[in-house]
Amino acid sequence: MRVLALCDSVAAALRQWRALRSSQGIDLRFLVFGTSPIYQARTTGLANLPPAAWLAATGRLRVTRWPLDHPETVAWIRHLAPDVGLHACGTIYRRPIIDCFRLGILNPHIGMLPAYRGRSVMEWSILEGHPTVVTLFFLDEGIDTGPDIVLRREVPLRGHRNARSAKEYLFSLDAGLFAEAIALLQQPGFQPLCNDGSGRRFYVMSRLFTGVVDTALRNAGS
Amino acid sequence: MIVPVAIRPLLRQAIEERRRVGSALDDEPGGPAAVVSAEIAPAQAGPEDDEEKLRRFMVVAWPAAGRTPHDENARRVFLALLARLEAPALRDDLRFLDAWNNGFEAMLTWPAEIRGRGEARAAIRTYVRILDHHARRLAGSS
Repeated sequence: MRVLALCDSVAAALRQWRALRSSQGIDLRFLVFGTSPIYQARTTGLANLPPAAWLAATGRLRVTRWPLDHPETVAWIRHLAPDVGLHACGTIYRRPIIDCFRLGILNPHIGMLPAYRGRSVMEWSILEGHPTVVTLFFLDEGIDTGPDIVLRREVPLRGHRNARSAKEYLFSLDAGLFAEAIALLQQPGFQPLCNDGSGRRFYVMSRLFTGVVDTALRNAGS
Repeated sequence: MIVPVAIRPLLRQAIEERRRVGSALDDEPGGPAAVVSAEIAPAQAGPEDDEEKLRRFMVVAWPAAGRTPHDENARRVFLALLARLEAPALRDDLRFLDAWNNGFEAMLTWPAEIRGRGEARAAIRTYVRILDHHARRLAGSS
């Protein structure tokens, strides 16, 4: 299985590499896009980092200053013909990019799908008394509406003083969960769960309600 | 209301504190409160369900009013769309109340002379009423 991690920094690519390098049966590549390669090299010490230098020298790491939907970038991805993409950046995908991947682009969403779509879903889960969950699904052009869920993992939150800290923790789990999802996808007969769009769309939570969530997290940890 | 028992007192306390802030603003001297018009330009209006009203407010009007607080048209659309969320904000789904929370927090960044008169002042009055409704419901259920 050919896997392409879509990253917005070399540091992000290396984080994914560390989690996925021992995965069986995958040809792992990295695309770092949207910033100058020189800038990337200077700010991350790319030339001095043996893993990154090795990845670049073996053609597994490509750094481009073009945005993801630039025709050159799209052509490069299409030529690579990846099976799965890993969403490790802040971009919004358009159909030409999504169509480059045989199975799709995996997105780690820090809420239970299909129930919690959109923004601040971790906070809303806590406010409504539901488990905090990370869902990995193949995205489409909609807001968390991609129909195929590969993995749902309940992650209890303890010891976090506020929502920001809890969210950072959930997001930090992405690389390990990507590895699990890729292993599942390689199992014969694997069937994804259905993201049927039955949930609600959520929006940025106010400071008032976020304060309530912060207090609830502190109370849960004490 | 879909709120677990452990969250209810926290939510009630937060809502009551916010109600006090809103009431204090409404008590400040300023111009008269206008009746909030939920009507907006025909090109922007249309039959909508509550989900679409919420989406338009949170995705279009709220960010615009935060970015350009001195843009009178952005404020007018913001207040009109917010007014359309009054009835759903009184029901169980807290996303609609939170749209009002976000709306109020945006209005706090507006100059006092704008916030304190006309439709903005009326919106704050409506917000206090919505908060009062939820505070009473939470008091009754805890």
